[in-house]
Amino acid sequence: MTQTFTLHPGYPDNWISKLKANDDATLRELYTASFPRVEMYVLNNNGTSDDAKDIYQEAFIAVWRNIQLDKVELTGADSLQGYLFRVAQYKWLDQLRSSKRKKTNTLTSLEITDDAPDLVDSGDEEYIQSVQENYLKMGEPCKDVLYRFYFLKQSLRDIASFFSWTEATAKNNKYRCLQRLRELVIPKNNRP
Amino acid sequence: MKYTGNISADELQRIERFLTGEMPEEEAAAFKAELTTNADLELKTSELRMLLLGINESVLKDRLPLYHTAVPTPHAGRHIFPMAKKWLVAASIALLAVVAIWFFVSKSDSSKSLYSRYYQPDPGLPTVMSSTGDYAFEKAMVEYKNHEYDKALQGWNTLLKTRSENDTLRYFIGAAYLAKNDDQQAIKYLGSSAADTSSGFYGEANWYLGLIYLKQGEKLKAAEFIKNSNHTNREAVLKAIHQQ
Repeated sequence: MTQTFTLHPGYPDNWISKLKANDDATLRELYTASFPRVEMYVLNNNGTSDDAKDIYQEAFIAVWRNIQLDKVELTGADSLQGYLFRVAQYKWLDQLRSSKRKKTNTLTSLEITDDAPDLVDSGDEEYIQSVQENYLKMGEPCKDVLYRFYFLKQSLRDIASFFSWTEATAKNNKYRCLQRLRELVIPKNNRP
Repeated sequence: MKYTGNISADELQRIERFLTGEMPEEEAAAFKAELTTNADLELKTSELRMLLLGINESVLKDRLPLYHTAVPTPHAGRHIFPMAKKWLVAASIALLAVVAIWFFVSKSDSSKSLYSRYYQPDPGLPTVMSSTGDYAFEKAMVEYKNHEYDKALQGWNTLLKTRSENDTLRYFIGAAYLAKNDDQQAIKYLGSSAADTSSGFYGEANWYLGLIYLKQGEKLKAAEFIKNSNHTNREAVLKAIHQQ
């Protein structure tokens, strides 16, 4: 499924590339600007501020993931904030439906059927979860190298300079750390 | 998702350039075409796409609590029905009245009760959440503000290994130990800031050390430290100590 939306006037023209590049200021702006509406919605529909925070963070990750996977298009009639809101709304509704709250809630007009936010299949989802768990278990140097290279998009030269390595060492260490993570995620006995 | 076997460093670099959009348009088009005919390359690219997504998502999840600290909180603590709210206001007024009566009726406090009355954990520093700045320090600061003192200490103590003289780090480690009621460790870490008049935390460290000694019943020692603090309740505490 491809989601569509238009640029929100409050965001810079190249915001999509900034979100793809994990630009801290853009991520933060999107996060803080969009939360109050979601919070209000959850509070008005049998939830608490903590519920709103949890559901919003799930939705934020889902939207970010879809942007990373190029599964969101820039044409259409909605804003990014609207899209994020709908994903959060969907998730909250889903949670209400699957819990006992369903018996007592007073939701009236929440028919959302076309915004399912989880766009990877269950096998990929399981794999991504495993990557996250194993990444967190890695030693600090490997975690830091992978964080700097893949999330912060730092060059090998900058990483080498930070760790007082040569650029070749930085490249080699980054490669070894990634291989190590691959092996942790799919143990030898599960390989073909 | 399957393990797709060994990926050489050069192959990895090529796939990464495609996935991160660093490939020139023409080369990317050729790569895309190759994906349709080269099953091995397609599998490796799929695996790496999900691998990098997982790494980045893990980092982002770790950052969300930091982002959340910047959210305005007009609705914090809501989900209170109007009637319950009225009762809460009434209960608050009653509680304030009881506290006020207790305050004026009690002529003298024990040292411990003085400590309880005046101790408030240091509120911590604002977190600016910069991507290249002191991320580990700020993450621990968020944990500290969330009263997750053990987690905060774990982060700060790791940083302290390479920054043993860092005044800010030592002060907040002391503040976290104090919040955990570990007085001995708090004294150890607050002591250096309290002894250094050029420290940015000189006044605060003296205030908290004074309160610790007050809790332990060492009133003279407590007064010495509190005299050096710049806390708004300094005079009130000193007066109460002298009245005891």
